[in-house]
Amino acid sequence: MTDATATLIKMEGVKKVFYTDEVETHALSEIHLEIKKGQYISIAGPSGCGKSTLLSILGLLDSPTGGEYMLNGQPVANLSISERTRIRNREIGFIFQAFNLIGDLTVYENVELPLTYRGTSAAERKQKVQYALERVGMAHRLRHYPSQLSGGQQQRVAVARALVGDPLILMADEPTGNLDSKNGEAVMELLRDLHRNGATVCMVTHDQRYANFAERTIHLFDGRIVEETQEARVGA
Amino acid sequence: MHTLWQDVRYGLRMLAKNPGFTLIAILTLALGIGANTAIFSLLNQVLLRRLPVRNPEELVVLKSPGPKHGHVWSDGDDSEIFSYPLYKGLAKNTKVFDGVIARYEFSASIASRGQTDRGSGELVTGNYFEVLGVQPAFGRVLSPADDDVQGAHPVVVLSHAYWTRHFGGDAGVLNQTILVNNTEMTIVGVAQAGFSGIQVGQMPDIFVPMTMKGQMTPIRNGLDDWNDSFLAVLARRKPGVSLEQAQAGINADYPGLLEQQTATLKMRAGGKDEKEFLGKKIVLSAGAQGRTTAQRDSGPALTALFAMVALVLLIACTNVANLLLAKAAARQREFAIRSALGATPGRMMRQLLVESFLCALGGGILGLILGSWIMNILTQAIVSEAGVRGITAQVDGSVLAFAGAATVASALLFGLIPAWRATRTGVSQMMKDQGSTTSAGPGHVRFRKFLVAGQVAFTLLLLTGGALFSRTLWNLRQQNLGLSTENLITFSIAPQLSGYDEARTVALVDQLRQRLTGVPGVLGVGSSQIPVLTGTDMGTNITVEGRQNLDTDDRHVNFDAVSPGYFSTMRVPLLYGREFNAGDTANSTKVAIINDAMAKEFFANRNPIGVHLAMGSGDAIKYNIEIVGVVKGAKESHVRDADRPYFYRPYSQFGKLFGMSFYVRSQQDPLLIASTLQETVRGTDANLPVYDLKTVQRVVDEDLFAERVIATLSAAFGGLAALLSALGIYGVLAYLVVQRTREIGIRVALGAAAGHVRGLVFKEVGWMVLAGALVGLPLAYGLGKLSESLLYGVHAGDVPVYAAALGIICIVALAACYIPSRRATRIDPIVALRYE
Repeated sequence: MTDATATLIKMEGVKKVFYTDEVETHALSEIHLEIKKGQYISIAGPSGCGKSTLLSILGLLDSPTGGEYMLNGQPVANLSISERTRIRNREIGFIFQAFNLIGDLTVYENVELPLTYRGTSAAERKQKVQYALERVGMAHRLRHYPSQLSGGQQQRVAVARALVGDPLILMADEPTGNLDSKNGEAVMELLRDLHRNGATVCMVTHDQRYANFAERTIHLFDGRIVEETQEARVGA
Repeated sequence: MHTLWQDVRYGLRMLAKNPGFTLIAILTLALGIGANTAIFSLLNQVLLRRLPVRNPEELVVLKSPGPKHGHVWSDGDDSEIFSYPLYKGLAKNTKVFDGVIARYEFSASIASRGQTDRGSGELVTGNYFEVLGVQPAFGRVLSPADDDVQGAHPVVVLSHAYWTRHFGGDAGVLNQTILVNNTEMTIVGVAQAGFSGIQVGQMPDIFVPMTMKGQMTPIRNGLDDWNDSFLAVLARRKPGVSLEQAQAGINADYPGLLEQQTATLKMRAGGKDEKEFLGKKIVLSAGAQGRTTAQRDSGPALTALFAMVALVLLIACTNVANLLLAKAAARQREFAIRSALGATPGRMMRQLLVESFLCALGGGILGLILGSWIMNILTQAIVSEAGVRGITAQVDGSVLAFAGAATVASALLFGLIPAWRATRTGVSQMMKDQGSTTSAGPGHVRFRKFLVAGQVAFTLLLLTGGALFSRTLWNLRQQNLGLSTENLITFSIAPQLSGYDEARTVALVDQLRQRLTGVPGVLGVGSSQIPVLTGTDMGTNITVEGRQNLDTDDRHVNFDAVSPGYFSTMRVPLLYGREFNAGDTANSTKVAIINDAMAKEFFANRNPIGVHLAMGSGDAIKYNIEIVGVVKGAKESHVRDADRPYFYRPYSQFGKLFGMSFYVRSQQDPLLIASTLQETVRGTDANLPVYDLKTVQRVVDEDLFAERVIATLSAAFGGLAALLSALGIYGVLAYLVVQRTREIGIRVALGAAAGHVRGLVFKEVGWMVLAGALVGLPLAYGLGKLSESLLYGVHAGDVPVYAAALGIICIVALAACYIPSRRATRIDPIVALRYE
């Protein structure tokens, strides 16, 4: 069971500025955010408001220009590339809008990938991959290639890949963006089930229907948090 | 036609639009086509070209394999050499032959218009030009009437090349007199342009009737001697007579001629020697290319080089094909649009093929220029170092045709498959590929990897060849010659060509040795009749006193006539007995020194010192030569030679000195005293030309010329192939990294460290190298086996050679993937994932 009082993520005054030749773009400004273990949080907002940038920083794919970012009590804003890579591999699970499965690898090999980079033994990998695929209902498609699966199935495999290494948090960037509504609903149900079983989930979406699946929603506009909804709701 | 012109214009525009691609493709092809053109030009001149005579396919070369007796003056295969009486007998056959000709090449000292040159002459039978069907450029050629009585017809026909070079094409030379080997000869004509005798690599300046041999080679005439073999014999088959019929026809006459020769030999009647000798047959071989001495000597090497250079072109084409595949992938949208607008795959293919042909044309033209340049360098080296004449760097019709064919073949090789692959994908598939939500699917670049694996295989083949031939050269260079080349210089003189008789020649050599010894800085002077390491041999049958002559014995031994101090000057160790000295004169006891191989073979259980031997065999021989010393074996004819029995006699006791080579050992660089040596000779006889003045180390280098050319070219081809492979590997990996950017981004997002990403790139190259090695190494072994006759001290299965080749290809592959792997590790997952 999760300890609802433990803080997993804490951001203080995080900002992100992109510099081009003559233009300075403030993608994020003064972000103060705290996510506790076991929470299901959605980041909502219109296109270009900075949702994906925030998720990239949260997922250690990018670094903030300023401010403090603590992950599981550790400052992570200024870690080396290799340290960030290690944390991403062990403590964060990613789910992308475009699934981002590797076409040359089978379903099994795709899910196995984070464990391979972690140096997990083959026997343990097999057990964990099998379990992760069973959790998403894809255990029967082990030897298939991504191109042989439907979009919904591909995203289920991507979810299995995200949770196979028992990360501290699942980061989902528009996980339904490339799916039809039926498959979108199914993936959202899957995330909710994972959360109910103790997973911490942070999801970016521009679709309010899906945002409502989370117990807490923060709304971004022009790189700032403009509203936060605390109540958990039942999805449509 | 109009649409083809449109394609050409569009193709030119596309090539101009991608100058980097165009430049690399054209340069790559130019290197391949250029190298091929140069080697083909050589191959064509040496191996393929037929004699410029009438119906050359009717010509045959006569050979008589089996035992030889007496003196054989051969430039390679003794079986091709006949005596003049034997030739005369063979020439009487008119049933199967329209004519039988004979020739002998000799060194000529030609004095005309106040200038004396050393040149090359050819003694030819009177029917030579008539049988070959060679016409005069002007004047007349020789006829049987010029060749009927010995010494009666001092006439000469100039070769067209010599006439042009030496007389500036002056028609006034007709009936002028020139001095050839001290004999006044009248110029009666000039042979047709382009005709340079019947043997590749030899280019006679003058043609002289055979019956003038006594004047041209005054030390030995040999025209009446059945046992003095010096003539190469060719014949023209009668029309309709096959090679087999001609062979059967001439062999009907041959036994009778051999009987006549046997009568001049003192062989044991009914003995094995006699039976073997009388059992000899004439064997005919095709003579369309004339004598094939050069073909036989250099054929395997040239063929190996041509195979290697063809592989280079194949690798170059593979590279360009790979570039085109990458380019075609980038142009998928263009093809999709063209297809959507109604272009058929065939039409699009034609467009791409036109671009390929334009590219190949650029490569072909540049290749031809490059080929001529390479050929110039090769020709200069061949003429100056190998002494092979008649090889030119001229781009003739066949070279042009070859370059054209290579260009077209290249365009098809590198253009066809990429064009076919680029245009066979349907529009929907192209669109689907653009919108894929997974990274590249399986098999997407498999073909390009296959091409690179092929390149690796061929490169391994070339690197192994280069390594085997380089090792051969290294081994030959490390050979113990049995003599020291340090500060040793040599030069030759030919007193007989300046009118010296035997006694005067000996006196001249004595005098020259004395004078040369007195030159400051000279440590020792020696001389020999046979110049060392020039491929020249002189041999005779010998009989050793007290040794039972067995029919199974090979009693033919090579020998040389040398001076006192020869062995000490050459630093050939004396093992027993003594060297020749001033007391060994024409009137003193005849003496000989043998080498250790001869001592081992002929005197296994006894001391050879004091034992007598006889030159010749049979019952009437005299054991009149006493062995006075044993020396350690030295390489005499070629660096490659194995140890073999050899003996030496003092030149003062030898008699027929047709030339003499001097060896001078100095304290310092011997080239510093080269001019003093020349002056010393000139001071003794101002009219005696000095030739082949060079260090003995250079003589060694010249003897290893073929090995040096093969090693250098094969190493260069290997290096070029490695460079092209590196480009190929780099091109594919760079493309793969770009194509897999998103995949790498995903992997990095999931926690792949830099090492994991590098591993991805290395894994790709590893598979390509492994696949290439699995194919290339067995092929390389096969090539090595085929080339074993060219190797020395190394065999086709030499593991270090293969390890070295594999090591080089691994280094090349690692170097080629350095930049792509670095790029891969620098992929930013954020940027990569934005591709979606």
